[in-house]
Amino acid sequence: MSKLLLKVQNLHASVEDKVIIKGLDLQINEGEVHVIMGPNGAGKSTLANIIMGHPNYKVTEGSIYFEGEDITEARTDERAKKGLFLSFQAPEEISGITMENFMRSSRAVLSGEEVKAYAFHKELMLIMDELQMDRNYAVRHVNAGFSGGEKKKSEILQMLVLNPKLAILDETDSGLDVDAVKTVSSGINQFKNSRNAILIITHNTKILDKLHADFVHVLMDGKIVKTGGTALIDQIYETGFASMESISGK
Amino acid sequence: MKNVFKGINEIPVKTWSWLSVNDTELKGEFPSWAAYKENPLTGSVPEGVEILVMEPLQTYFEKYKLEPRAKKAFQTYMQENRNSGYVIRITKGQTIETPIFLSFKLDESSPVLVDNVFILAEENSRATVIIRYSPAGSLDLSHSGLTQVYAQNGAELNLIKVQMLADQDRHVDHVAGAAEAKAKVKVVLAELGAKQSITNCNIDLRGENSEARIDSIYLGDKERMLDINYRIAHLGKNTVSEIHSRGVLADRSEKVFRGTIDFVSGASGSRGKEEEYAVLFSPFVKNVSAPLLLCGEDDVEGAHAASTGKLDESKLFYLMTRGFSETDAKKIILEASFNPVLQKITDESLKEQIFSYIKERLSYV
Ligand SMILES: Nc1ncnc2c1ncn2[C@@H]1O[C@H](COP(=O)(O)OP(=O)(O)O)[C@@H](O)[C@H]1O
Ligand SMILES: [Mg+2]
Repeated sequence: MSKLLLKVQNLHASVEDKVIIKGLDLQINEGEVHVIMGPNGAGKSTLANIIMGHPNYKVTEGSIYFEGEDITEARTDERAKKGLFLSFQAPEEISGITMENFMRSSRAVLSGEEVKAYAFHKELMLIMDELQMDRNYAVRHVNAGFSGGEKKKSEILQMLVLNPKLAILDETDSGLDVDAVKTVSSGINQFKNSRNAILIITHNTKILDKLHADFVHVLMDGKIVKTGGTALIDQIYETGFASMESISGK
Repeated sequence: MKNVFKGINEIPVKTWSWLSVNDTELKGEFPSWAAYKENPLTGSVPEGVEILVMEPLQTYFEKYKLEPRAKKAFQTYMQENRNSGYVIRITKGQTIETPIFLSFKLDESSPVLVDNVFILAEENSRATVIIRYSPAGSLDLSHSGLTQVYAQNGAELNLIKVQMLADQDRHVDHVAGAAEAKAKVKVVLAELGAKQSITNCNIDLRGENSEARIDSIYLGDKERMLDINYRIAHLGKNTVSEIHSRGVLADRSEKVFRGTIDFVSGASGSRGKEEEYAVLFSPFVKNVSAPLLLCGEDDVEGAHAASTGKLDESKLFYLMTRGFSETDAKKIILEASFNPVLQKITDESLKEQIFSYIKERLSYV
């Protein structure tokens, strides 16, 4: 039996007294690909931020477990060290540190081990080639002056380099052109194995072309209102999110 | 000798109602001390450069008449107590690739340094001079200094000054400069340490088409008091200036920043801008900024901005999702903020030292 990685139990959360997540349950096992879809403002990014421990969001009820451990109160860097990763919907620009140094330092702090510069460089160049990223981006400052699409590729690059146990991809495919979606999609496919898991937040199923999604969840108004297989995606395209609400009996 | 020097770092026009913005006061012991014995010059004197010790300074002062923003009383103190002095002359037309590096180490044998350095870049010459002040030992150290830079027609002079004194030390530093026609004076100032850091930089753009820049970074931590006063005066036509300052304030540090771009009547066609940006790491800091544009001339373009940012929480979160602790993430953000200025420090090993100095400092933040 595959191991349970993430368990979100009866999660309620708010920001500045505004309740956003209203009783959400989610379980992700090793080897699984989960997709979350939902209308704008439903709380998808909020969920991702809470799983990573963003300090602005308050968990008012419920818990988050990772590999059986309660991480509801854990610091963000501790969660990262346990193997959680978030590809941001809007990645930050960090000038003053190059992509390569950033990722190398990041791997070092995550693993607690020294990362040899030369071997790392070689590995990084290979991954960048696969993502069809210009190698020069390694010496550019983190996301600084990158286009929207380049920032998303940079997130996937970081995912591949840091090799987390659970990668949450928040609209990584939006803002990418058709070719870029393909490369990102094959990057994700390459990452995927039986020991890790992916949670993909998306509006677009192109990213799933090369990937089999095990579960599709519909998140609306802070709750998961429906879960199913890939057939659910077609249903969403046909009837829209509005129909889901009636299904959930609201 | 116990002294009080008033009117230090006075702004050119007193329009501000708060006392701390108009000027500051210097109080304390200003003892005399024997000559600074070490040779601060690291490396050899390059071809095309002449370095003279002490005596000729006065001749240069009188000839070029630079105006340090120091009150008479303090200038007299510095003149009477000067214990290290150099004239650095870059000869006409020479381009000096390797920076000329003066490193002043203050320690038990030299706890008081009063240095005067005069740098003359003759016509069409180019050079970079780096001056660093660093401590050794745990005595209360005191540095008061005056660096003068003069760029003749078409010359380009880069001055980089780095202050890395210890928590209990005092640093009172003046830079005065002038540029003749088509000359450039670029000053980079890093104020990183000391208990009290009182600094000013005044550059006169005397010749047509001359340019001046002041790029500075400052770091306030613990109870450091930083008092900064920059001014670039446009005298010649079509002159260009920029003041660009980036700082971080942590703990209970205090900073007053005054930056003036002064368009003097006759400086038509000139442009100047200034920008100061402070990141606050703690709610207990004191942060005052007084950017000032003085337009004695109509046909000029001036812009100024001062902004204060709380630490960017989204950036902090982003970095922490990559495994960095809060402290490490803050350091990365701070380096990012300093980076545009640090990039102007061409000496790699000095840049490294600054990075590790900042890292060390911030481990307490
Ligand atoms: N930091 C915040 N402060 C205030 N409101 C927020 C904040 N973050 C999210 N929200 C609100 O919570 C709701 C859900 O937002 P979000 O999770 O970004 O939606 P989604 O990613 O599903 O489009 C929205 O109404 C949004 O305005
Ligand atoms: Mg979102």
